[in-house]
Amino acid sequence: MSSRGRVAKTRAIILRRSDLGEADRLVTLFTEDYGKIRAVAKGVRKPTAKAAGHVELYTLAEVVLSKGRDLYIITQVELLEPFLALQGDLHRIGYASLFAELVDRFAVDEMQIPEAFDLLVNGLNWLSEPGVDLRLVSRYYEMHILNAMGYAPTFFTCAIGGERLQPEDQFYSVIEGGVVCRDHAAGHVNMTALPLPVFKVLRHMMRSEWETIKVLTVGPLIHHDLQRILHNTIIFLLEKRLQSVDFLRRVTELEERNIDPGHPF
Amino acid sequence: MSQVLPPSVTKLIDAFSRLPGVGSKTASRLTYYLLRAPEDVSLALSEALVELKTKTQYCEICHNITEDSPCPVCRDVRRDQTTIVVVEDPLDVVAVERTGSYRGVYHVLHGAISPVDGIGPDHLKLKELVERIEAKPVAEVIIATNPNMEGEATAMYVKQMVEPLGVKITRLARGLPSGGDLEYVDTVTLMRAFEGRGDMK
Ligand SMILES: [Zn+2]
Ligand SMILES: [Zn+2]
Repeated sequence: MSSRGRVAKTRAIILRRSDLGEADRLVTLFTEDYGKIRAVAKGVRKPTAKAAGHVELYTLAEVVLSKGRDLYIITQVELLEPFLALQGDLHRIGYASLFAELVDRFAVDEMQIPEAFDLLVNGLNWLSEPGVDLRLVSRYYEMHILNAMGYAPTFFTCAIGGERLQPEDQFYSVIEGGVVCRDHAAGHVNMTALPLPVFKVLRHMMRSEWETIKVLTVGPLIHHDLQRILHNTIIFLLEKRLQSVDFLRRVTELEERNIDPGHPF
Repeated sequence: MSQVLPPSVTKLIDAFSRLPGVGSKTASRLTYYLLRAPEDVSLALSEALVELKTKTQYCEICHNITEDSPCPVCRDVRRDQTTIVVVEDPLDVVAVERTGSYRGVYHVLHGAISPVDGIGPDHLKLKELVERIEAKPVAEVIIATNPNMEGEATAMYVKQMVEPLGVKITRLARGLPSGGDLEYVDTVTLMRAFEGRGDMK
């Protein structure tokens, strides 16, 4: 959508918001048809505004946009999915925030990325499922958002030699962008050991649908390695810490303190 | 801005433009208004601006903005010092005071949790709230953060921090706006209103 004044309708997830003036909000949207855009939602901070509840973070809406001088203007909003299950849970809010943060950081303005849009919508749905392993949802989402954005690590061929990898203990390198075999890892610094059980889960996650992955029971040690590998990859690519991950850590610490009240504040 | 304007004029236009919600057009309009207005208008404004920063501070108890600390609300013996309304911003205190029906005190967090913007629990006056409750017995903490995602997250975080101290915690109901038609109320608000429904008195 290029020329001024033109109107378009698209599905969108609200990634970020900030206040603008007395009653308006500046909103970052990830839209199905136009990618990541910034738009003004007018008057929505007043509780009586019809669209107020519709411009909420991490909800799916159908928006009508018109192009203003510098920014898009949201002229209509219809809520399609509020993902209410996310709102009552600090962990789920933290993960939803991480999903949005990743799209916000990786996506280039106004570039349509349909796989990433579908993945974000699906990811928020998966997070809403009762009893789901939230860490597993997040790892699956992280891996596939990297893929959708064109940064997928190599899991099937050696990132240095290019030969097919055997199902055995391997190494991982964020700099090389994937798994490296023992021979090619020799003599290189910044190689992380990748034990076979972790390697297997990574490969399984890469080529399977979520419905297959969600039934897996992943132990804490494997979870720890999965998180380290994926988060180190993301931080390396973005050259920035993930704010939502810091928040999730704080939420977990607070909970542990409440379970063990002897722990000082 | 064009070169024909004296620096003292462009300086004020620039200063106004830095305010939230003020574009360059509004900034110019305000500046020209002050140029034409009687001198006491701009003198009163400049005095108010200086006093805003030199005379105000945060109340040591509730962290609201005040000229004297503790603030008048925290010093008021007729107010119930054991009931605390927790709000995001000083303007929320003004809104609650406007109801004229609240007789307790406040705690101003100065923001709401927003992980994506990097605003975490440490950026808010949360630790201060816990210390305050530990120092002096409190009967009830009423959480009055905004009814949106950030406000909800903040409310849950406050609850988790305060709960171990054995204080009663309540949250403002998320109701329907008065004067509106039910058919125009958005789905989220309506669902929240159902969740927060009460007995008819
Ligand atoms: Zn190799
Ligand atoms: Zn005070």
